[in-house]
Amino acid sequence: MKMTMPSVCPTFLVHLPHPLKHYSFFDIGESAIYEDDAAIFTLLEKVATTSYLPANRIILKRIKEYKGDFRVSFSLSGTTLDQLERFRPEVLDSFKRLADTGYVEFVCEPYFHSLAFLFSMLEFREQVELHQQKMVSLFGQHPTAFINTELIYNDDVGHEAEGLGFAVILAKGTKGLLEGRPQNRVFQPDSSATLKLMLSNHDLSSKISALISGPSDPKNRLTAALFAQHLEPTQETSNVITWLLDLEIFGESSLHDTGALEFLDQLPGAMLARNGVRFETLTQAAKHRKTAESISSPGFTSWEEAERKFPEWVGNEMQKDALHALYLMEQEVKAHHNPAMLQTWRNLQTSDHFRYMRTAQLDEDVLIKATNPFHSPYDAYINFMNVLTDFSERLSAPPPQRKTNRGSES
Amino acid sequence: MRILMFGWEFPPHISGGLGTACYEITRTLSHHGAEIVFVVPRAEQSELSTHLQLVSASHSATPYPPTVDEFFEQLNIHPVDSILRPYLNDAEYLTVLNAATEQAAHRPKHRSVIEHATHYGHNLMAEVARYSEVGEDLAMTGDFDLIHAHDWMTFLASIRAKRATGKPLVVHVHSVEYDRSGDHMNQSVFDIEKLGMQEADHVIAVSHYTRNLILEQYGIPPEKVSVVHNAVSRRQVGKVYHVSRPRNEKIVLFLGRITSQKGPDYFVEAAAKVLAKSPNVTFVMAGSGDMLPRMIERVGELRLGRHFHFTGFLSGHDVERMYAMSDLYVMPSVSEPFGLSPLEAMLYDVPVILSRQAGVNEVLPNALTVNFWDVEDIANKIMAVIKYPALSRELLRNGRQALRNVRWEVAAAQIQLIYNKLLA
Repeated sequence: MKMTMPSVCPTFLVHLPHPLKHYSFFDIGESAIYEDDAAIFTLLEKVATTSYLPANRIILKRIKEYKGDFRVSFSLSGTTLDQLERFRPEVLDSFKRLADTGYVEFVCEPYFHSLAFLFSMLEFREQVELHQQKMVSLFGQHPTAFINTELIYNDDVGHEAEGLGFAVILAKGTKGLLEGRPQNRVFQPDSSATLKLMLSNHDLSSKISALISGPSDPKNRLTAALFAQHLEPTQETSNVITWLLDLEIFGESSLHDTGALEFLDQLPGAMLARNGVRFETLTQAAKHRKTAESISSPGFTSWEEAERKFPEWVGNEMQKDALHALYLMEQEVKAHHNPAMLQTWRNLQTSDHFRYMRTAQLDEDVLIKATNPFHSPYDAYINFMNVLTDFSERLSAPPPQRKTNRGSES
Repeated sequence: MRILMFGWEFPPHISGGLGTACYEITRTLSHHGAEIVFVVPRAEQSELSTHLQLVSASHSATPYPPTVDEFFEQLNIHPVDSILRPYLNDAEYLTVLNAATEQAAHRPKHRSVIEHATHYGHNLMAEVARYSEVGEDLAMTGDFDLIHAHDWMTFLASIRAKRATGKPLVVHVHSVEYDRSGDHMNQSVFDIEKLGMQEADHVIAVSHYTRNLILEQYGIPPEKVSVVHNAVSRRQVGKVYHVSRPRNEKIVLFLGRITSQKGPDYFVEAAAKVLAKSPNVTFVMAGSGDMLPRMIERVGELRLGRHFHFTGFLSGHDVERMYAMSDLYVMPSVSEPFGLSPLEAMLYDVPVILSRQAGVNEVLPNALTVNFWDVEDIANKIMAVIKYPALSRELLRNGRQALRNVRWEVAAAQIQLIYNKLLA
């Protein structure tokens, strides 16, 4: 039997939370400033300098060097693009330069990194469309691959993505979804006629993340050469491995040098040194594989929780309450035809706001705690609800009279 | 195993968690076979009758299972005539002493009582010293394997008992002088606490918070100090109270000693902020203490009277009713070694806001907490609990889950292990 090497699809995620500022009940009616610009700026500054810029420089260098032999995909959240535009436009330029090479695919996602699919199909579609437009205007690409926020996926998501014209969707290769099947291949969801499903290889992706972002002894350090050696040839000709990685893990840490950027730098060469390995973008990988095994996924899968149904974002009373209160406003917000108001409402949809309200295994989950700007999930909920209450009051307040025109106006 | 235990009156006759802790610890230890000689201070002229009646009265609503007989068979209660009571300070002691003397004087028939009243120590330290004499007397007459003392007023008595018999001593620290007095520590009290911990073969702290204070302020070697968290007994919940009140009126409760340690002033200031926004809230401050007059004055000053009530000292069913009526319990303690009352409030399905400076947080990892000095945040969170019902639901759900692991049986088993080590 002929053995072949698999293709690899490196896919980088770019999303940073934009936390709300401390907003007390007593700020309601007093202040309409909700976002903590200082915190957003600080985080963006740090990640842009230590990771996004150097990582993009390295990727660009290697793409130019290997031409079409090295290709990657990016999934950029709309909210983070907005922040980059405001605070660090040169990072946007670095993405544009990557786009100009023609070897980089930009994946579509709901613009505001929202859970809209679960609450409002109308809003979901609008956010997908907004993101598509953004990709066209920034990078001149009409996206054909789709990733739902937090990798939330089931047959319905697939069906919807197909309806919106996407060729391929990415989800997480969970045990429940695979039911024992090998995951490094392209699937055909039962609910779709043309859409292909690709699954991120979670074990490999998290291995890379853990090895290069943990404090490491240079002796135990994961080198690209070592990593590439573990790639096994298989009997299948259509084999494809999808790595889904936060771009920010490739960065310099002030605490320790983990060699993450070096790993990134050496990776393309080390992989290509193994005969038969190819790099592909998501859409390419899907198109190149004619046969696809069908797969059905009635239940949801997502980034964090493989088997259960979204405890991460909609698991407890506070999350449910906050999300329902938020999406209940949709019609009223949209009836105003006020772009600023719509933008504010949409920024409140970003999934991080609800992740901070998570209570399950609070004490064990060090990572969640470390990235949570709030003292507790209750504080996150209270803060969010105070903001939402203020926003709702402003929404239902009569529009301010125009100053130019005294007297009545109709 | 026979234990000579220096403790405090059982509920509902004393304020604070100390009596409850003594009751539950002796009950669960007895249940597991320990024989306890329980020494308590009790004023002779007190209107309280015998201890046995006292306990059965407090639990008439929910009779204890058969273990109650077992319990009292094995618990040999030894009242000692003294006007000591938990958490006394110098000034309060004099008030109690005057009251005792006066009470006796108004009943001229009982000349003997006056004599009793006058034989109490002329100040707190003198009374503590006088009380300690019983330690030695009891030690000489009794037959026991180990001595266990609860909080500083009994430490001298237990030390004398240890010195007279050579039996191992466990001191149980429910609070330290720093908790009660902050920067205005009474040096004599501190010295007695320190002596007790030094002389003890083992020290039990009610929380890591308290253990740290013991290590840092008293210099006790860490290997000698264990943490045994207090707990709460589901059986403490009596009848279900059906309380009728206006539907829109929310009741926010402070229940505890009204002393600087408990932070009642922060509660009042937070109430003022809340009431400025939302008049449909009633604040209740239940308890008594040396800061009560100042709190009443401040509430008047802030013109909160219509929405702010003082109940005075509550006991027994009144406490239960108070919890049952409340929509939120707030404990803004400045320094709280443990803090039993939030656990009790949670048994009545009342959500709680806790000071981060409270040991009870160690058993409630998912609690809603505040910094006691952050009045704005306390007010913000009171408003949130009132306005956002999902928050209450979530707090109660997480609270119930946490309470499952907070049981006196666990505490008793830990104490038993300490006993076993000392006697091995």
